[in-house]
Amino acid sequence: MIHKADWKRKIFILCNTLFLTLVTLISIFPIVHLLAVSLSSNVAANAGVVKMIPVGFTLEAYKFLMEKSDFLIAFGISLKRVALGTTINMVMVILTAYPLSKEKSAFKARTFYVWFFAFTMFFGGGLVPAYIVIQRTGLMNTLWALVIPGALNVWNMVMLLNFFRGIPKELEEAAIVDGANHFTILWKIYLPVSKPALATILLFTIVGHWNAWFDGMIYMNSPASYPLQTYLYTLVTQNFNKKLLTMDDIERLKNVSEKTLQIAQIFLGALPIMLVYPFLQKYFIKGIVVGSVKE
Amino acid sequence: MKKRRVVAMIMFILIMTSVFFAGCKKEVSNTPEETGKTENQSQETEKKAEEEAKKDTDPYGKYDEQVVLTAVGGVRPPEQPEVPAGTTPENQSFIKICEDTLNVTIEYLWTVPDEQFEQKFKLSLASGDVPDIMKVSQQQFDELIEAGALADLTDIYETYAIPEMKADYEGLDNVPLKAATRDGKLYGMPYAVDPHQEIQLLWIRADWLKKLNLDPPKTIEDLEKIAEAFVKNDPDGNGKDDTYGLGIAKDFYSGIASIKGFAQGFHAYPAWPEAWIKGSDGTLVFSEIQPEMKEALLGLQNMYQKGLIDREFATKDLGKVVEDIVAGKIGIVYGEWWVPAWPLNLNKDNEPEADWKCYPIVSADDKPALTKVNRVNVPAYNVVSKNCKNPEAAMKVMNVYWDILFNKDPESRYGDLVKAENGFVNHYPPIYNYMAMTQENNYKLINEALKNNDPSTLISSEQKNIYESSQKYLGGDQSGSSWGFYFSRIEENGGWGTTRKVRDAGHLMYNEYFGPATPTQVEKGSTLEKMKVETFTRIIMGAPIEEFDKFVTDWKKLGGDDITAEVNEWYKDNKMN
Amino acid sequence: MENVVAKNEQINKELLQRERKNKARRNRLALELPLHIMLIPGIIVTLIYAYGPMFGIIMAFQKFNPSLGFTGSKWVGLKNFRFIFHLPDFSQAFKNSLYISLLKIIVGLMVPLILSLLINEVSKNWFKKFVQTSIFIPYFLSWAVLGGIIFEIFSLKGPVNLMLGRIGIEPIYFLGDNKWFPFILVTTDVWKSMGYNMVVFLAAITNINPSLYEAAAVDGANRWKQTFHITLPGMMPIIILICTLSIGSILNAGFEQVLMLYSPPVFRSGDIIDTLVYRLGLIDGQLSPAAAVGLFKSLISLTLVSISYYLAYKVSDYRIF
Repeated sequence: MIHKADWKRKIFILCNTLFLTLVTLISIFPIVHLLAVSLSSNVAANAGVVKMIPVGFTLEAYKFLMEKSDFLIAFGISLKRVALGTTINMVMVILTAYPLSKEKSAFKARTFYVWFFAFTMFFGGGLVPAYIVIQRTGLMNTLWALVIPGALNVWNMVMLLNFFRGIPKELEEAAIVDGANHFTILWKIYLPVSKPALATILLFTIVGHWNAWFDGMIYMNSPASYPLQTYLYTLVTQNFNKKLLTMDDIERLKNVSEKTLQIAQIFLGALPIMLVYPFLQKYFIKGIVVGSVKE
Repeated sequence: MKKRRVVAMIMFILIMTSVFFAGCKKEVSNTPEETGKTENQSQETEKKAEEEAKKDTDPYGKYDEQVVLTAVGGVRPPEQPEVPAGTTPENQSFIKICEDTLNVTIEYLWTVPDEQFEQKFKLSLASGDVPDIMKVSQQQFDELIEAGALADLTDIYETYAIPEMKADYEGLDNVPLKAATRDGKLYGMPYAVDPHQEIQLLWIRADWLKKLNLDPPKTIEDLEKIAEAFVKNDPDGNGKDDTYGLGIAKDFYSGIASIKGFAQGFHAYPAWPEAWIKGSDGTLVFSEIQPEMKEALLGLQNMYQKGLIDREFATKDLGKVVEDIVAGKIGIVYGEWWVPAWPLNLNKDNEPEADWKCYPIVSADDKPALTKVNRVNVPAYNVVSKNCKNPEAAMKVMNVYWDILFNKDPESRYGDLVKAENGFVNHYPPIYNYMAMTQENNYKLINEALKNNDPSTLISSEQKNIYESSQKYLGGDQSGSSWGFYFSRIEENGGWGTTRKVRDAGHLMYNEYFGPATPTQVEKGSTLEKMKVETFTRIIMGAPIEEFDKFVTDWKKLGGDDITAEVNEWYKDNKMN
Repeated sequence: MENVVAKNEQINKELLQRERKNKARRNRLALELPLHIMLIPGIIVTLIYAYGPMFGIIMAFQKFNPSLGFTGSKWVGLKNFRFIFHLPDFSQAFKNSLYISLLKIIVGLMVPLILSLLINEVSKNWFKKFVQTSIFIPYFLSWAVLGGIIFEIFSLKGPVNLMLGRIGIEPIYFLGDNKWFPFILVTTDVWKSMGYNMVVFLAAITNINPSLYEAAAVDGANRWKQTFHITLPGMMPIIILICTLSIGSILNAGFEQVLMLYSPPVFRSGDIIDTLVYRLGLIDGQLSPAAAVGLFKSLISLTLVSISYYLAYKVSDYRIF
């Protein structure tokens, strides 16, 4: 019997490994393709003949990039944004999720607060009034415009709140008997046992700030202060529309020909964030588990 | 210990929040101060300027007190490689020139990349930031007039505009100015383009024709035969079935790879913006619901079924079609005069043997094929805010810009600041005007100069650049870019050369409408357009032709009849002949 | 007189009661005060930047002209709503949005769930890490970048059709065929974003108390049984949460993606509410109908989420948030 089960398990592991390998390949091919194009000659890239292997291998695009100051400047702005934004977001999310994770018996107003926050997930005023509020509060054209309005991510907060609720109540009660206050409980008990959840939210927050491009475009007053993804977005979205009427449009199309340069920038733009993932990942695989703290 | 942690935590929060509020406060307190300053400043200048204006009608007259014009900008990187890195609209040399010659300075409220301009502009208007001078699209132009936000430039144009600029508009019978006029008031300086620039031409790989022993087409029938040979007879000789006949993009109305030129062979005139042509009863009719359009679509359907058009054209945007052109998969494409400069030059770089030639469009019957042109072509308007204290200063800035670009020897008047290496970028200034007749003037002058081998007659720096490129090409330089320059602008049988011939032969069908979007167009425009594009694409891909008749009925019912009435109402007062 | 005394007594009583209540309240306040304080920063930011812009909803009832602003634009009552609902394309776009996003929600939950369970079964750590990281990669690339790549993959001469050709299937025009287009949207969307939910699910699995597994193993439960009786129930709160929140975005079928991938032959199956609104704004310059649609969508999602919140509470006695 045991032998049979063992054998079945081996088959499962084999199939599982094969299947996950396939999923992996399907997931990484676009980045491999981008890398291949960025290492190809411009002519080959313009003709669209590069697939997974560079055609007419050259490092020209990367050489040029290293001298291109706007890419590096945008990169720096993005780093600053991620550092500042992530710090603020994490503090806000934790501070908000903790009280709201309490049962109604322990925190009477929680339901009201929860809906106060949740409502904003489904209702918004739209772009124009948001722009006006940013302008009136003096954030326009500052890095704050990119981090303050979204300082509290309600989605992440609700997720963390649910993770917090999974923490056994006995831990908390014991601490209260010892005379601990809420801040201590949050700091000493909740946070240490929630590392997987915090790592998850940290990842989403970093990725969210890194990938955001729209707010940079509308709240910054000059392309020189764009974060990287905004800068990349303006590179990628070439206006191939029917309005090809003016000499401007015709001249602009010439810029489109610098395809390898564009792709190299896209590739480099995605690279740092891909490096963050493995770093945080150890927490998803073997986080400090609730049970182990219990003893 | 515990307590200290908590205290530290609270401190941290307090610091965070105070940092945030301090940040706000600083910004907030800054702004009123600044605006107060500029207000004072401009109030002072206003008084002076009033006195000034009375005695001074000099188009280049210098102010005693500095005048500040606020502006916004949609920018793209400069093309000239000599422009120093880090040159932005805010620090371009044009501002320095205006300060030196007019004592006018330009302050940018913001700049964004070109494509994002409309969005940022709308947001900025809605939040109350209206710059003094701006370059706007037709749609924005109409909205600003509706809101009463624009200054009346009628007298300012009369008094201050330089004669060269007036002459250019007169070359187009002043129609552009008419388009910028509402109720007798001139609300903007139109940036006008010679309408003949949109004449459709037929571009064919002559090296493929030669290889397959074919003659250039005279009729649509010939064209179909050539396309068939290009598909079936392996013109690139690589032994693979990888070539298409006619290159068409999913977006039918671009300057290249559209269905326009082909349809014109059937006397149908698909267009964007919509074309309103004179019907048999003298009223204006919508070109794309005419029976000729049905014939044209049948012609395209026939081509598609024979495999002469890419089976996937309906999902290929212009970028993808360009890839095919560059890769040497497409042998025939309709396009305007400039296509050698882009993207045919890229194909030539990729395949040096590629030999693109240019022909007038061909007809399906014995009547000559006409190409549709607008009565007037105004892609943008330079406008001045109603709140601008010195609207005539805007006109003077425009004069200087024109003077630098199109009059002879600007260096003698403005010094080295007009050179690219000192930060002069043609498209950076916030008011942007271009001589409408540029192509025609360039063609004549440069051909003359090339013939006499004497560039001294050339006026603008642009002309000198083209002259140099042409000489390079004629001297044997085979790079795609010099060929593109020469073949699009100078060569007698090239882009502009052929365009002129079509123009002079009068093979033109005019779009008579150049008014603002009518109320029903604003409401129903996108709905009707989507229906149109969907129906046409489906028919080309093989849907029964009856769908066309249904489209015509639906189009009329869903607002088309109203639009027709509105357009004709406008036409009563704006007939051109 | 008696009346007055009685009244006084009553007042006294009430005062006493109130005082007692106050005391209880004060106690409660003392306990809850830190919790309120913690919420202050969040409340401030939310009030200013989430509730602040809500005045903009009035745009839905105006004929908004940016140069006139909110105060200057004309009021038109419900005209924008009537206009939108009477557009010939609206019902089709509504149906498409619903269909596409429903498929996306279902598949977009199932695939990451299965993946996270499968990854959890992998014993080699390096492989686990490698698979996870790779699955997350497409999430970092924008639709603007992926659009062109997807076109190549599914084109008539692309790798997918090449493989189908090997097993004798005629090439399929995936992106130009109304039968296939919604499935391409769902497939590519799930492919791009599966890493996101997968991470949440993995974190949920990690959060499960391992002593439960030990106990089950002692009871002789095999891996299958452990998965079904411990892992899945342990993940349930998070699964329900994600389900509920996804329902809130049921009318968002993925604007950027559709805009990149759709084309005239598949307008019929691919046009969604957001692309319709986009065209109104871009081609006609109408901002107000867009605001009306936004309000309509908000109302629908608020209603749906409230209902599912209530149902989850009634059925499983669990508050989602």
